[in-house]
Amino acid sequence: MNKIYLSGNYVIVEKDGNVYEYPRTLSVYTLEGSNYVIKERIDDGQFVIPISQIGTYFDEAGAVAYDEASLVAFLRTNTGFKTAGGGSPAYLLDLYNSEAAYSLRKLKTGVTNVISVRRSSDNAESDFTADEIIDGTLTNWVGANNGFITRIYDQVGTNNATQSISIRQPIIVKSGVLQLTNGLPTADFSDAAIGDVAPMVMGSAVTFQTAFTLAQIEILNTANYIIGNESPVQGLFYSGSSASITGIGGFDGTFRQLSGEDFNQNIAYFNMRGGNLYIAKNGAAETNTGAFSSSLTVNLLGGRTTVTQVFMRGNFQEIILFNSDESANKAAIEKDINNYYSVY
Amino acid sequence: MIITGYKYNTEAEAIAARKQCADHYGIPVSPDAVTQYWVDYEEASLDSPIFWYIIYHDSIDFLGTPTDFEVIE
Repeated sequence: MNKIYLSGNYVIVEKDGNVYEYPRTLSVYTLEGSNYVIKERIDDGQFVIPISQIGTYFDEAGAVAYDEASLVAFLRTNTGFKTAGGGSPAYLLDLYNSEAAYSLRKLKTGVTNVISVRRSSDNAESDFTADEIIDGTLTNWVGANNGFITRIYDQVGTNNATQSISIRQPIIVKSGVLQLTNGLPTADFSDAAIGDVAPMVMGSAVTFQTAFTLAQIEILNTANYIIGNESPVQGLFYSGSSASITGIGGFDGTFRQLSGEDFNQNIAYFNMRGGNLYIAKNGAAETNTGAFSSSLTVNLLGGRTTVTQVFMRGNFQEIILFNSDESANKAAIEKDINNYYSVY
Repeated sequence: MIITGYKYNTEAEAIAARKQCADHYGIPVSPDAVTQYWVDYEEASLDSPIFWYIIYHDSIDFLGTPTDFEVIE
């Protein structure tokens, strides 16, 4: 029986009676074609597992066979995240269990489409994977016209965010050009020349305790809520012209926030625990901003209500919501987001 | 709040105007399309009597000349 398991500080691979040991702190894994490859950083010795044969490998007890997702989760946990020459093939949410996740990049093994787009030439709609957004497939389909996001898929469930009104949809291709923030695709919620962009509506409300968000405000609306809820009024915001708002924060009836507004692309972390709201920006240490709810419930992405003054006027790239305390994983999750987006 | 747009005394009139806009642009393109309308209407629920309205956008000029009116928030 073939096995893969952790023993002390070694990843053990047993195959056909042979035993291979990989020091977990010195080993990495990569996806090369149709094979997963485990190898040491400083040694060429490697072990190759064809995807088609993953199911022939079991855990240490020989009780549970791996599938691709569980193998990736195991390798991601027990080997290095990055190879010297390239990125990890695994995805952030292979390792962490989130409540809902919206992004223009792929966040989990098995995810296919990440957005649906309407093109202005004939109002046709089509789905796109994260790769298809950046490899020219999307812009070729849109042509020299505009492409609007009609749906952002929930990458961990079925709670997709949609906008059914044409002139309220955020734009991703403008006059044939893919919209970018810091070189990567972005959903532009601020282009008033195109329409009166409004929040996207989640299929059902999501309750969360921890959130990681990536956005950039372009216009100082009264309050730039990146996610929110109309009743009860609550949500997370990045900035605002309101005298009550001074930076990145949350509202549950009371404003809690960091001070310092800017128009930069920011990775924000929000964590509600112990009756307080902790916030951090761009990998900095978290700040206890004061008493707050133990969780928030939201159903809108890119705003808080149907009132335009609390719409987000900027660029959206990622929101991950956890209904759990992820303060212990703050650094690792921020690192993954920043490794991809190079914010700081 | 002063709104520039199209004001309707009944919700049925607002719905008809919304449909006129959708039909003008051939929306929805298919039954399973996410996009169902070109514009939507709002309800001025705090006004008395209640009325309904569509906010002006230059893509719906065919609805006629917009007017300015106040909506209580």
